[in-house]
Amino acid sequence: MGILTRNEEIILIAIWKLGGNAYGVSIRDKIMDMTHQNLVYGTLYNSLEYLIRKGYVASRKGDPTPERGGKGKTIYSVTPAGKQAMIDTRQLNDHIWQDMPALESG
Amino acid sequence: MIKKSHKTVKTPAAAQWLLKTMALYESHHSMAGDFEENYIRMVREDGVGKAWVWYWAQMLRSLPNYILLQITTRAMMLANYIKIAFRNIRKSKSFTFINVLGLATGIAVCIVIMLYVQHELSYDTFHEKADRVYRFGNEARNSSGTRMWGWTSVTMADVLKAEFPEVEEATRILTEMGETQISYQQYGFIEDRVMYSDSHFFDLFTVPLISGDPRTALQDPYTVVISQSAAKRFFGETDPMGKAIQIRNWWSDNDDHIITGIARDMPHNAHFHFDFLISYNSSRVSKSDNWGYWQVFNYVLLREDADPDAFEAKLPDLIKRQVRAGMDEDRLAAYEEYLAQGYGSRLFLHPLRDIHLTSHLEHEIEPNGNITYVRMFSVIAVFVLLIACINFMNLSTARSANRAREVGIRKTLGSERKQLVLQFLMESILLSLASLLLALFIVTCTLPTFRIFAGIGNHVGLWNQAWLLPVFLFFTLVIGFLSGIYPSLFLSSFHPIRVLKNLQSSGSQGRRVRNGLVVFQFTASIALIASTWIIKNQIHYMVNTDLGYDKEQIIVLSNGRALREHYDAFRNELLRDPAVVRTAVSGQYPAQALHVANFRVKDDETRGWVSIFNSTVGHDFLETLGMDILQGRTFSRQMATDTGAVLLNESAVRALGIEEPIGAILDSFRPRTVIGVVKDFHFRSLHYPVAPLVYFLSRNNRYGYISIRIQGKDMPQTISRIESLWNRFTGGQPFNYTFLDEYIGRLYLAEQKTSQITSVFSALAILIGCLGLFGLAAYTVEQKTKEIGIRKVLGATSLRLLLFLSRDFMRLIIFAFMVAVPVSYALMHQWLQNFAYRIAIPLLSFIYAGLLTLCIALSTIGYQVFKASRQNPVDSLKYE
Repeated sequence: MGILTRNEEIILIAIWKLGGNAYGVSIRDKIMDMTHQNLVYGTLYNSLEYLIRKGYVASRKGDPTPERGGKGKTIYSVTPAGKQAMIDTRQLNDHIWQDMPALESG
Repeated sequence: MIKKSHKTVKTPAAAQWLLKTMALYESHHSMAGDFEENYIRMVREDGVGKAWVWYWAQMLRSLPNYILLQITTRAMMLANYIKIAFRNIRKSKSFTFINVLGLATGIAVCIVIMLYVQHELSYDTFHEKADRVYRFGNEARNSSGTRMWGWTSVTMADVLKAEFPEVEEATRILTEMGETQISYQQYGFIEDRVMYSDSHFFDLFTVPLISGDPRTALQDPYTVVISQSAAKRFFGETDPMGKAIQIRNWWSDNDDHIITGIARDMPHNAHFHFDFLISYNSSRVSKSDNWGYWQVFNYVLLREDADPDAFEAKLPDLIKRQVRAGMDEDRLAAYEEYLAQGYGSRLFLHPLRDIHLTSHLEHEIEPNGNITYVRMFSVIAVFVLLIACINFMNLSTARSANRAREVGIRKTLGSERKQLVLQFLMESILLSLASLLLALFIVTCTLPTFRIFAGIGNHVGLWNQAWLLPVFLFFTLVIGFLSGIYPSLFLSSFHPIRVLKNLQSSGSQGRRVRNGLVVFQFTASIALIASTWIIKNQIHYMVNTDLGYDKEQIIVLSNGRALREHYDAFRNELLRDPAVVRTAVSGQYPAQALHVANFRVKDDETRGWVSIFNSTVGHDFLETLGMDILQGRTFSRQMATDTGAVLLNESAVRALGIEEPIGAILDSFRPRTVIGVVKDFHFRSLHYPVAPLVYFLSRNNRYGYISIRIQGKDMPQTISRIESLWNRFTGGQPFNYTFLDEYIGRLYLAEQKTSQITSVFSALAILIGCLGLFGLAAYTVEQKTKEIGIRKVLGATSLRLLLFLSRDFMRLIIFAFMVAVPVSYALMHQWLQNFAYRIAIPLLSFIYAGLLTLCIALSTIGYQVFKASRQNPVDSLKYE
């Protein structure tokens, strides 16, 4: 059972949410949208690369668009293994937070 | 409108370039696209300036990530290469084994030889002033030839210091003659590392004293400095300082000597070693102030600004001055004439550090090494390593047959050439590292044997030569790289389609190189085997040749002087033993002669002085040794006048130019009458021709060596009877005996060693050669699998196939044989020039060496070929 790190989890969730349109710019926008924190491309690419090596993410070439100066996209998608890891991670999270006394004072 | 704005927006060029160079992701293209897309959006929303800053900030902040990824990616690629390399290695175990073993053998040989060479070159370098210390040598030329001596005048040290300002200090070393008995209280031992020197010894040589003052330790007569190990041996835990030991040898006669110093043991790499360093003043030699008495080794320490060549140039004048000083008119004239003939002594300087390797004088203090061997071994080391490397390379290339398809597929699947080259390089570097490990293991295992064999000390080791391992690691990596680079470039150049369609007969280009290599290796093997054969023959000849006397069944007691006046009584008792045939004393080891003196026929002014070996012997000596008298008679107990008589050998008669030897009177220290002529016999090793020899008769039989001829089978019994007799007459003095034939055999120790070394190298050459051949045969057989199958189908027998497959190799070996014969003939001819008496080079040795090599080679390939020829053709053809 592969448990994802927080970073991996966020990226995978972003890709999953984006469906078929997950590429560099959109993933970064999505993550920044979700976390309200700035994200440097280098960090994102590194994480994506490691996720690919782990087999959680697959990449394929997308078509170039004019607003990219004619450069192609790399489209990312979550693999079945990645999906399983997301499920496992979520279950673990739920399990950990179960029966949790209220954190807020009251 | 939007489209137009796209065109006007330009991303920062420098940043883009940076991105491009740094990027290592699958496609930096799409990454740049992401950047650009985002940038354009920002330009639209926030203006160019802000976007520009953002772009740069993104770039720079991403840098650490890029670098991190670069590193991890490289590491992963490396790990991947290594993993695949390991798979490939495992897949072809026998190939790998041969390859590694061959290279490991080469590296091991190289390491061992380098250890040896390094040791030999390190001699006497530990002396702090070694660069300014020189030893004198003497090149003595007279009518019977030129001889190189180590002994020079006993007064020289004093003369040099008085007359030459460039001499800072000088000292002399007097070595023992015969044997020295050292006694402390009731214990006596024969010691063989005994030297005399004066108090300046420690000024020249770095020999630290543990106790005692180096300036005064050797000042007074009857003082002695002993080594740490001797101190331990004689005194154990008690302090030896100030104790008295008795020293009895040729130079001192059992006087008490006081121990005034304990020296640290000399390191192994010194050209002399002592356990007892006695003050020079204690010796009889020191009583002489005669320039003409040349008996000691003289060493000088030159001032730092002195020019040794200029100093050396002044030495001839020194000799002339000194010689003339002690002469009257008549002798002076004779001396001038002697010099005019080109005779006389020439002094030369030998730098201290070079003595061990380049000095080969008569009477060296200890047997020296030989620079020729050091050079020879260095060359061999390089060659062995080179051959091993080429073999390694060769086998890798030959393997391309199997791997061509792999390369084709890899290329088809998109491998870049760079990756393939790296892959192959990685494999060969891995193999070479494995070889280094194996080599280190081999060296560790064989070093103890090698130390004994090469006569080098325990301090020569793998782990205490710090420089050695990094050097070898580096070289191994280089070897791995060089050996891998050719096959990898060669293999990676295959065209995928041609290879996959089986068009490229891979590896055929390297064929000539490989054949050349096989020829070279087998040339070396055959030459070495033939040489070993010839060397062994020469040794056999030297050991077994008739020396002119009977060296078998003679026991030599070497502490004869311990008998004092009891020799005759001892002899009489001895002769009652039925196993003892005869016995006689001699001043030097029987049938050997070291001393030389000048002789001439008395009152014959027409001929000059002739330097002749001489030795003193007792009655019965010639009979005991079994030498033949040609004319006249031997010494006789009945003739009291014989104490003034001499025997000559034939060569001496010729050298002196006497026509009627019997009754001739010789002039030396005093006139002596020739009473007989001995048939020439070899009193030196067979390196030298028989020289003139004079035998004097001993006056009182109190001499160092007693030869006993024995008979019968029971040697140990006889010896123990002699020993008990000895103890009775000497009161339990040390009983030391040797067998004459063994002693003679030891004269050829250097040759025995050479023979062992060439044997080892022959074996190594054959081993490495066969490894190469084995690989090549495997390759050839593999290439011809189908041909063999077809031939079998068409009815070829296994035997025919065997012949067919080995034909090419046979041709190579025969070619190697034709190269090896003249090479080894020339080398051996040269080597045999070292001997005055030598064998004719037996031509059969080459034939044997060739046949032996052929047999070994055939059995090497035989296995492969046999396997191939027995194969069922169905198996080899079914893939077609």
